Amino acid sequence: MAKPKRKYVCMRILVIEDDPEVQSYIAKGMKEAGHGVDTADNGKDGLFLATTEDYDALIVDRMLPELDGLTIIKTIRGAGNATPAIILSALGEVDDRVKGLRSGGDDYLTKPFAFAELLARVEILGRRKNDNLQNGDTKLYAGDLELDLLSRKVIRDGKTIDLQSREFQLLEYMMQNKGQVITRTMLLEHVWDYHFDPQTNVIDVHISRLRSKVDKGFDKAIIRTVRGAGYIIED
Amino acid sequence: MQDISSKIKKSKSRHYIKSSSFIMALVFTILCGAAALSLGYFINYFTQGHFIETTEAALDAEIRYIEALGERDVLPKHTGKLYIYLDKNAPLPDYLSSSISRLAEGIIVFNYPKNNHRYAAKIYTSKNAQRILVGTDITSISKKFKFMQWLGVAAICFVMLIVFAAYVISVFVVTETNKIADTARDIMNTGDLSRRLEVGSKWDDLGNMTIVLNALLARVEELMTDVRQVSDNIAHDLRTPLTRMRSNIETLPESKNKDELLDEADHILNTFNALLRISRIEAEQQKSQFAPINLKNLLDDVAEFYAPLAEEKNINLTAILSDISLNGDRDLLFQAYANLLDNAIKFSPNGGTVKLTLTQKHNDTLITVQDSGVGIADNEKNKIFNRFYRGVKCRSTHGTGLGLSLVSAVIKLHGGTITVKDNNPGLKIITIL
Repeated sequence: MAKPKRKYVCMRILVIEDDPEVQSYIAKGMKEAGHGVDTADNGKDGLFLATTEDYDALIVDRMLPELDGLTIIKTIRGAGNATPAIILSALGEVDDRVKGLRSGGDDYLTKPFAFAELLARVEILGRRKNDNLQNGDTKLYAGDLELDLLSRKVIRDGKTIDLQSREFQLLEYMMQNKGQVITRTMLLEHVWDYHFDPQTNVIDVHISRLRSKVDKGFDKAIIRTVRGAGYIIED
Repeated sequence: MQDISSKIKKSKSRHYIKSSSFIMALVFTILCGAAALSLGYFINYFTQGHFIETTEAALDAEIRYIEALGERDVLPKHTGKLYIYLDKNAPLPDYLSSSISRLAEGIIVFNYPKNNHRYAAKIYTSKNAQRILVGTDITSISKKFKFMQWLGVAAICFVMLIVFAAYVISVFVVTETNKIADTARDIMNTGDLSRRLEVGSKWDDLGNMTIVLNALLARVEELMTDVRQVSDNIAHDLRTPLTRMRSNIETLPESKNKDELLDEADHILNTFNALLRISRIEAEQQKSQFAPINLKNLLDDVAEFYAPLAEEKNINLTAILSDISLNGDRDLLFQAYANLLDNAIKFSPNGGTVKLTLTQKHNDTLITVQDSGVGIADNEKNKIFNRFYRGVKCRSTHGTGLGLSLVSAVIKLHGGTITVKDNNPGLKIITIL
């Protein structure tokens, strides 16, 4: 596991998953990343825990014995519980993703997934819950880099950096999630807004272009690569 | 597939004239007609000849008998015979001349009003220059002869009936076979094996054949589904242990080996995922995602997404797009054209050109991707959409061999077609939605 230097937030996570192998794999990884994990191996127990305990994030398998994942999320949403939930699915059909998100899930991940992908997504969801207050800001900062959302200007060390609109969006999304690992798929989904599978490393090419504008000529790199996971922007 | 189907498309429904059953019916009719006509002719010829001969013989015998009687001036009273004295040099009596006709040299035929019988007669001049008309009753023979004539006419009518029936049968057969051929051609062109031939009726041979062909189609479909199912099941069943393996690799301590192992595992998982994804698209389960989309914006995004990659290789990437909207699956279409553009850039040399165009032609939306790469040989053009097919020139490059299969599945899901042409140099992929 690559362990990036990141803003350390300890989260309490509930994993509802009936496959013991997958469950222990997720629980072990989350614990290693410094989070507290509770587990349930069927829908009923899962729903009980989710409604009685206070969690920062839920990881819910779609297909569960007793009660399926979508029903659990619908039920807790109906009760006014807004705990961010990520749905795991073995089916992976596009149709499912839409259904999952409509039922109140905040994110959707298809099995098999890299653990880094799940961790990155869970941490972003957990942080969103805590940092919602920041929404009023019109300027984002990372070290000596400043991004103005209104004038759409990027300034580093007093110098204006010219960015194309997609590069601006890329930087904006990464700066909004400063300190969090952003995977390539997350960039595709949020910056380009398409769910697809690029055959080549096009995302890396986009990032390296952005990097050449933002980091070139400066001692400290703002955009860092996290091996096996994605990218991170740090102060 | 492309080559074959285009050839099939060119051969239109067969004309009746070219149909084997029609030609056979025609030959059969001609032979039948010729047989009937010759038979009729011979019957007519022989009966008429025989009739004339026997009549003449009977009359001559009668005349000899009268000659033998000599000067006694007494006429015999044979039944069925007629003797009339005629005036010297005078024509025939009035009551005879009204219905007179000539049968043969020196023999006349007339209706005798006194008993309303038909007679054949010769005029005999005796030694004392007395002209006597000697007749013999031919009423019954002539009736039989008339009957024979009617029989001939009936035979010809019968042949005409056969001609008509043959025509009707051949039209029926040709129409039915054309229907079967059209449906079969459609099935080949669209690859839609779930279609069946229309069974017209169960009693005729063609109906029977259609039922058998439908059973054959069902079997082919079953086998095709089985093959797909097997590969899907393999992919599906192997995905779980592979995922487990991948997560086990992830927990290994950092090393160069670990990254290689992860890459390898990811490659296999990607292949399986792509395979399963194609199957799901082909099963047409994803039409639920169809919504109106602006194709120009979508293709703009694809081109923009690949622009840095093209720039890295100094490839001149241009997008000429008209403003067109249609109903479709946004993510899948993006994926399809991303795959095409990815290939185009991958196979174009440094400094080459890649062109993406979107135009409207009549009711069709045309999207072409042109590159200036190595292109592909003609015999490979129909294979590149097959799963796991990798061209001779790209075996060494990175990929799953499923990219174009996915494109083809997506285009088919949208009811479109995809064709491959030479761009000289390079390749031109034309998709019509």
